[in-house]
Parts: sequence; structure tokens; C-alpha cells
Amino acid sequence: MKSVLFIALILFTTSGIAQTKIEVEKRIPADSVPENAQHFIKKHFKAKRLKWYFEKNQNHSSFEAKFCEFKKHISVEFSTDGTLEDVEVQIRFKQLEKQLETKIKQTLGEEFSNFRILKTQLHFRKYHPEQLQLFFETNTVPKDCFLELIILGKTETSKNRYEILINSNGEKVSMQQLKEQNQLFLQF
Amino acid sequence: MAKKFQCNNSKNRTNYFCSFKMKSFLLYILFISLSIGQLISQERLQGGTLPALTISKELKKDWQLTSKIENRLFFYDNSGLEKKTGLDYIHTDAAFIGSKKVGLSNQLSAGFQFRFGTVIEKRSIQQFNMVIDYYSFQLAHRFAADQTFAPNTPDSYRFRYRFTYNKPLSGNVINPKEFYIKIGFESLFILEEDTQDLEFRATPTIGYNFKSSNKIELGLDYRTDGILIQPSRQRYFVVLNYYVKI
Repeated sequence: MKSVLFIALILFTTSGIAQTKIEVEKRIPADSVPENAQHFIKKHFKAKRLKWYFEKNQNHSSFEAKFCEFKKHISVEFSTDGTLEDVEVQIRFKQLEKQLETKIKQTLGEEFSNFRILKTQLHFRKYHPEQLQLFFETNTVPKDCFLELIILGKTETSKNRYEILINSNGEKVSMQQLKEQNQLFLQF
Repeated sequence: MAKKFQCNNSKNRTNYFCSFKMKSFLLYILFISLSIGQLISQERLQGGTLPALTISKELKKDWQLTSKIENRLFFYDNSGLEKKTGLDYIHTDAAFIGSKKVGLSNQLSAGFQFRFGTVIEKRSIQQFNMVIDYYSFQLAHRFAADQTFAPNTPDSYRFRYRFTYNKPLSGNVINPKEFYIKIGFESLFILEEDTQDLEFRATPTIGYNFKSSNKIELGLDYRTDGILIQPSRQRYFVVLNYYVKI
């Protein structure tokens, strides 16, 4: 028995996991959120099942409100002083206009040999309810709106998750590799 | 229920009819009770614990090496001729598995396991995993096969499918220092010489993700087998899993 344990420990020695964007969110009570942030949510949304989170990554901290509205998952991000940073609305990739869908696939195809889109969000830096309404009616992404995609992408050397910001023309604005979730507990 | 079988004289039902209905109901209850009693007395029941340690190391080109050590201890066993209570060490499993990512989120694995008990059993393992991400939960599918060889025992071949649901208890992803729930259901088809059998497992657990992304889980593992070759056996284990990625 001891020898088995010893072999197992010898097999796995030092570690070295490359880390990129590490984002951690913690559920917080509404009363610890700046008043102007709470006021913005009350003013613009009915916000069913509203939950507040404090989000932190390597170089940024923010408050985030998550709720359901228009039968969509919506998250609204505020700076630590309660100033609006962005509004994100989760949509289905196939909801996009065919032309934009093709252009985005082309953009991703240039970066990755194979990819799968896991999550698509409309990303508004300034919130105009009429823009969102327009998207729901016509599936047209407004000009000053972005798309935030979470994808699983395969390059020549590795497979990773990426967060990619795409503009309304389907061009890549920024891309960040996400820290891989440890899935060992689901595999064995 | 009581109302349904109540005699209602206002509707001019005869006493004979009422008593007949009541008697039928009582006989029915007696029959069900006896049947359940018969089933329970035929069942073999075991209770124990399965503490396990899983260590994994990622290698280049999407390869991964995993080692799992699991002990089995019983604290209740009436599957044999006499009922046993008190902690009883049964065996230790030591598995070594090599995996490769295939496609985008699938994994193909193969390896072997040694079971150190009264004799040493050898088992070869093959499995295919799929993990699907949703907005706030994950689903995992595992298709596996294994072959067990032991001295003076017929070779055993098992084909398994496991479905696992995992949800963080806070937020949409499992962050460091957060709890999650994991519920697994598995069915096994077992071939042994000329006999075939089925086994079902249900594993509800609660887990904690450490800052290092190592995870600890505590839960129940319920297993029932002997479905095709009666009498069936019920096993309840308290599971304690620790997952380390280095």
C-alpha cells in the first residue's frame, strides 16, 4: 500500500500551470452595493431574481448585478464607485444576422483551427433601452454595441477558453485567454 | 385515503358492501406489506465508506496522467451468512490512467487498476468523457468499459454510462473557496461467464473548491446490483473525494 502511494507521488512532482485571466465573483448583499448602482437597476429594469456580485480579476474590481429580463440573462457591471461600465445581454449566436454570423466565424477561423462558441452576449458600454429593443425586433446589432463571445478554441499548440470582444462589423477588438476550469472531478 | 373507504350510510350502501370493501382494502394492505417485507428480507444490505484521492498532472500536447487511490471499508454488512457490524477494511484500489483531449471538450482515457484485497485483482479501463457547459451548470457524460481479471474468479466485463450534473452554489462558475453540488447517476451492464447483471448508482455530493482549485467532496454513493440475478444487493457508502491537480 505504501509503495503504491509512493509511486503515485513520484509520478506527479512539480507543477506549473500557465494562468491568464482569472476572474472571481462573490455573491454580496444588496446593501453593500453603491446607491447609484442600485438606483440605475431600479430605474431601467424590473430585474427579476436580482443577485449582486463583487467581481475581481488581476487588474480590475467591480460590482455586478445579474438578473432575468425580456426572458434573457442580463448582467450590469459597475465600477467600485457605482458608475455604469457595461450592460451585457445573453443571446443565442444563431440569433445574429446571417451576414454578421458568417463574418464572425471567418474572424474566429483566422485565429483558431477549430472552435466552439459557448456563450454570446450583447455588450453595451452605454445603455440605451431602445437599442436593445431594436435588436429584439430586427436581430441587428447596433453600431456602438459589441459582442462578447466565450469560445473554446484550438490552436496548433493547445485548446483553451477565450473571451473575445467583437464589434458590430464582426471584427476582433480584443481577446483574452481564460483560466481553464479544473474538470478532473467530472472525469473520474 | 380514509375518506375513500369510509362507509357512507346516507347513500344507502349496505353494511355488507362496506365491510367487503374494507376487508378488500385491509387484505390489499396486508399483501403489500408482506411483499415489501419479503423483498427487504431477501435483499443484501451493506454500508461503508469510500475515501478516495485523485491526483492529476497535465502533460504536453493535451495529455494528462491521473492516479486514483480509493479504500473501501464496511461498517455494516448483512450480505453473507451472518450480519457484521463494526469497521471492516475490504480493499484498496490503485488506478493509473492516461488521457488525451480529443475534439474541443472531450477526453479519451485508458489505464489499469490494481485492487489489493484478499487477492490482487487487475482491471483494464477505457473511457470517453464529454463535459458540456451551460450558463450556470455543467453536464458531463462518461462512457466506459472495464475488464477485471483475478485468480480463481471468472473474468468480468463491464460497460458503463455515467451522467453527472454539477452546479456552483454561488454564482455561475465554481470559484476558489466556493461550494458546489454534484449529482451523478450511473448504470452498469456486467458480463461474467454466462451471467449478466445490471447495477445502478446514484451519487449526490457536496463539494468545496479550494483556492488552489483542488476540490474536496462529501456525499453518498448508493449502489444496487443483482437486478437480473436475484437477490439484489443494496450498498450505501459515505464518499469522501479529494481531487488534486498538479
